[in-house]
Amino acid sequence: MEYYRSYYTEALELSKTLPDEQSELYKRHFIPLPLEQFAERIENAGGGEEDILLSTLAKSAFENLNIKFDVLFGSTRHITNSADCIKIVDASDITEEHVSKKLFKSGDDKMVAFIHAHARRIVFIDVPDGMAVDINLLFANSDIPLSTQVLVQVGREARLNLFEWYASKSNSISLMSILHEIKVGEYGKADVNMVHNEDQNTFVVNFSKGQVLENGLLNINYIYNGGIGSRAKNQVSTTGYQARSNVIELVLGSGKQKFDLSTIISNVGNNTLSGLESKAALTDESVCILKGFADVGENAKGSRSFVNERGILLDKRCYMSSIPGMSIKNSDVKATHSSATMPVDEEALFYLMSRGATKAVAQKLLIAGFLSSSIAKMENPAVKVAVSSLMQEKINNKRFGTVPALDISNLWGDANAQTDDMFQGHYKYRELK
Amino acid sequence: MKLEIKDLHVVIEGKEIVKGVNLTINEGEFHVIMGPNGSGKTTLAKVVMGYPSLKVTKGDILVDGTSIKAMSADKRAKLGLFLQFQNPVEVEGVGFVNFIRAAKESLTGTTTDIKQFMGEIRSYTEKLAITNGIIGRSLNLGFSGGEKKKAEVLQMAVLKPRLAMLDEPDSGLDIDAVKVVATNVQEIARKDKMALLVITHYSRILSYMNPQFVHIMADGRIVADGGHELVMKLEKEGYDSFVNSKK
Repeated sequence: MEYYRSYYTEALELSKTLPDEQSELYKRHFIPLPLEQFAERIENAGGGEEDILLSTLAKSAFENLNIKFDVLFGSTRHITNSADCIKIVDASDITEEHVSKKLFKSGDDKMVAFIHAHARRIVFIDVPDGMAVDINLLFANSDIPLSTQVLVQVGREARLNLFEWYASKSNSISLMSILHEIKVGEYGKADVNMVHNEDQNTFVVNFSKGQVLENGLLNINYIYNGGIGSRAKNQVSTTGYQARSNVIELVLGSGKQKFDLSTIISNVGNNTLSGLESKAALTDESVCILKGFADVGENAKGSRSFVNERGILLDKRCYMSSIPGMSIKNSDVKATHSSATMPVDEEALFYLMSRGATKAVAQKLLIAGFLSSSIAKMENPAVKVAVSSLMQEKINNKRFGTVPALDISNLWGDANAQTDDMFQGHYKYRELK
Repeated sequence: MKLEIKDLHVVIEGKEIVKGVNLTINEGEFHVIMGPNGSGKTTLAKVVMGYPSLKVTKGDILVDGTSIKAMSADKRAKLGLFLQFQNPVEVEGVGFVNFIRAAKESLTGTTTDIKQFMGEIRSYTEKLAITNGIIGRSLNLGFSGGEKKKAEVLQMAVLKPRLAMLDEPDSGLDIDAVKVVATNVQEIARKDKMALLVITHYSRILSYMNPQFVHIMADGRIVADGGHELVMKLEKEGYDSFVNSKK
């Protein structure tokens, strides 16, 4: 308790003093967050109504998409159905040992400091060596902002399938803020899926850091479908020999939704592989900024790194900026990055229409196709179904923030799609096949 | 279905490509248009299908007496028109079979029985000697030139249009594949009472087909009409004798 007080006070002070994001893009497009109001609401929250919200969301997710959650997290309380490998520590019980395991420091960012100061809990997911476990979590905020830290540790030769569904029901502007810290041990594998489907009053803050040790594999799929605004800062480091990481970011924007996603993939160790595939399909007045960066370290001999950003714009009013970047400090590596944003391909549109599809249906097919080639690469079938259903609901009805009906009509898994070759199709590396 | 093209003039990016074409295709008839490169054959087929950046400056296109000039491509498809593309676009993430099924449902306004539908697809893949691999792929993505042509014929067979326009169905095919495509196209058309308009440079494919009407197109106009004897004449004399002639 004593430690928590000093830790909390330090983070709280930092959250007040650290500057907001200073970039021009941020100032021009993003929503200033009333953090003091949020903090006040969190501190004064009772939370009795949250049980109803959590139960309702869990019930509809089960009925529509057949997803059973192990733990339901509200802003102030949680409901545990199954707790294999999960330990939930109330913020007031955190110790110096807990904090020493963290990859994030409060000084990293204003929102990190805010989450450190206001998170009601730390969720520890610890998969012991050699064990395999599937975990499904629901996070839901109401008018009371939700701040939580999730610390994941996957042991040697262990395997984790983690599916996190983010939802909300709020009447005024609220916040979903999550910090993830994921460590994958030697020969371990983690498949982490974060599906954001918050309502139109919720601002999403999703920060994560991942670290992969020797011969480990970390697949992270970030799906941004809901929320009025989303800000993400993610970093995945392949530190051990032959460690691999594959990151997929999918954005489907409509209305006035805004997304600011910044992801760094770092090759630290020898013969490592890091890949980032970011895709955004935007309509109406939505805005998306994708910043993907590959950082190849000086000890990353024989490593491969890949950043691929793609955008499709369906309306003249939407805006996208994709900014791929690289820093390479070793000469014996293969690294590539690419970026392309375009309106719907007129030739493809005509082709589909010539077979009888209306313009609207043809556009929907093209967006679904654009996204589903990435969805096909996701390994967890339940995630594929949930994401496909969400996307279909958004494409067909521009609705988000509710649990959609199951719809996999356009979910297409290309039999020839390769999930582990990040250089697929890139002319420079075709000879690698 | 009766397709009438009347004094059609078509412009793309300010350049006139089709310069007054007249052509009538009645129900179940088999027509061929031959001509050298750049004579306007593909443009003619595309404008009939409703390609958006082609502008009709004069003339009309009628289906069963009704002008379709203002109709979008999907409405023309619903009337029964079909265009087999010379270079079909590749669409990542849209499944080949899923798409044909969606197109069929869109054209017929009914839902398909998936078992029966897959049976139909398989029967045509066997007839057309298509490897089953393409069924599991995205639409036209990574298909070889020959696979693309055969996949287009498969779509034609399943969608059952009333008039199918085939733009160079033989290009990119080896000798055996030309025979397979040609015989199947003719058989499908005959079975479904489909009218055909085949566009080609070469007479090779026509040795396996029996068109009733052959038209030679040069410089945006139809410069000669006839039957199979025109193909023989072309074989002997080439296009030169037609290029500067007037109909």
